[in-house]
Amino acid sequence: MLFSVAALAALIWPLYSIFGTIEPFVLGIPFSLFYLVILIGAVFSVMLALFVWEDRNDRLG
Amino acid sequence: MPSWLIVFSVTIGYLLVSLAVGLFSGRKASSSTEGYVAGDRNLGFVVLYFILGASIYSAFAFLGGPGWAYSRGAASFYIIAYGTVGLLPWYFVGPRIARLGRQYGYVTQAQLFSDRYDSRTISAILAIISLVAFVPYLILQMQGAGYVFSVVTEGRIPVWGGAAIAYGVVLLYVFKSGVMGVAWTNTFQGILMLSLAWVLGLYLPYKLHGGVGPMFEELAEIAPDMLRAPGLDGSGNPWSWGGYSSSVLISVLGFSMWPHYFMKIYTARDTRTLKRMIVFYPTFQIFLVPIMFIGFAAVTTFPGVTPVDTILPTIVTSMGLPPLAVGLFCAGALAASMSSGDAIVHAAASVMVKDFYGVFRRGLNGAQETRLIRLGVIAIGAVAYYFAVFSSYSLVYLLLLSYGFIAQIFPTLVAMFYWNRSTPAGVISGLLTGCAVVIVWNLVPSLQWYDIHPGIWGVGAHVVTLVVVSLLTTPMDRAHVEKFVNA
Repeated sequence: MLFSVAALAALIWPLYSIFGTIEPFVLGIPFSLFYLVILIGAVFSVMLALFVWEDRNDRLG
Repeated sequence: MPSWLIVFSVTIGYLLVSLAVGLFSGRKASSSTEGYVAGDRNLGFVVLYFILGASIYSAFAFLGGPGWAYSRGAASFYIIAYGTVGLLPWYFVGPRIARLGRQYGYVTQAQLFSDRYDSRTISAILAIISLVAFVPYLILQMQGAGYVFSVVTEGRIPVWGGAAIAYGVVLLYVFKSGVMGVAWTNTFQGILMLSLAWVLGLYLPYKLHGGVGPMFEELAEIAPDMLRAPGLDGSGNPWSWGGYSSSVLISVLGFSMWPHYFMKIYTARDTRTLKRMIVFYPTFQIFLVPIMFIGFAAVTTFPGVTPVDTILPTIVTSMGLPPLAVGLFCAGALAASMSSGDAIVHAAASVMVKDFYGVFRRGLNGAQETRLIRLGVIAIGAVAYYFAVFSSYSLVYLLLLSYGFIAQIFPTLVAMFYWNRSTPAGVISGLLTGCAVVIVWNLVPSLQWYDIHPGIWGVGAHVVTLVVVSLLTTPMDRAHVEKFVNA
């Protein structure tokens, strides 16, 4: 749950104001957009890890 | 065959497939209210993923997204931002909501809230908030569909005719199949839209600028403020961080509270399926990225297009693409409009009958209820159609209100599961205060402070009122509360 709040914080001021720049271009897209793509990936991976972990615990009972 | 006729035939072909998918899928669910509204609580992962994914891929994302990127640059990224974390609250409360739904037979959002607080007033308030927020959205989706038809037939089918054809199909399959019709058509429409988003999103920058990289490099030289977060405001000046951040924040709070999403928690086969869908949901946001490329591609090549929301149809129709491709685009745009419209009309009718009418008239049996919801589908469709076509009443004000209103449900949800001491009086006064503040802040522009969204002030006032009034009133019966908190 803390992670959700952290992810939200990363998407708004002041954090996004640090990373919302044009340079450097990554894969041809400005960093402001690339940063969001990275965050989507991060949210997905962390939640997936949490899900797999919880799922295994459930199965072991 | 004239090219508009090919385009038109592809579009009609798409509508026929949607109709067939929608009508056929109803056979899989029972005819009870649980079947009609919650799909017998037996939806699997793929369908659930698409039902929620395609619902946000509305006319707003498909036409409005490129429009924002075109006119306001990085400001449009807020749409990607809120969708990334918007569904996460469900990971923590969703499984409990699903379990309670199964145990007590809930199919709508307000049923759960009104049972927890033992209050029919809450049910009625939530029903009114939902309907006020729903109807303008539905009207916009209809206008979008009508516009697409009118463009592709070069005006041969007027906007009113196009809206009638597209939403005639929607009403037919929602009437017949309920949530199963919504679910399976959204899966079909979702796949169609995703493919189109990638094809158009990569093809247009390539065709107009020689690739995505060169396009952004060109923009970085001509209009750097556009690519730097938070982009531009409505008049073309750099947007404020207060405006951007509070828009993201209020959308995140409101996102998972929209009743047509919330109700889908009840449709999940089991908690594992529900959680898995929530985990995978952010991946749908990746598909919004190429949609933004489309808008950026047009900045230098098609300057001065108004209204900005027509930028995508403008590019597609003026680039000399083969008629088959234009037809597929139109089908995609219709799919975007219809996949949101169908979920909204279905949820609005269910809410109206179960949460509003049901409060005043108890003791309806399941068959009567399902019949009433079906009539509600037609009634709401007709009302929205009337406003979409015949009324010139501006929707902007209502739309501004709707996200602020919906976000007011969030504090109530948190209190419901995490604060045992919250009382019915606290919740009711909190909801009413929150909504009142949103209305006042919208009406009086001088109250604005750093462009912060009125909904944020509403949520603030809501929380204070909820806490104070709850502490001043008698606590609820402990055993009753624990039934929910420990679910």
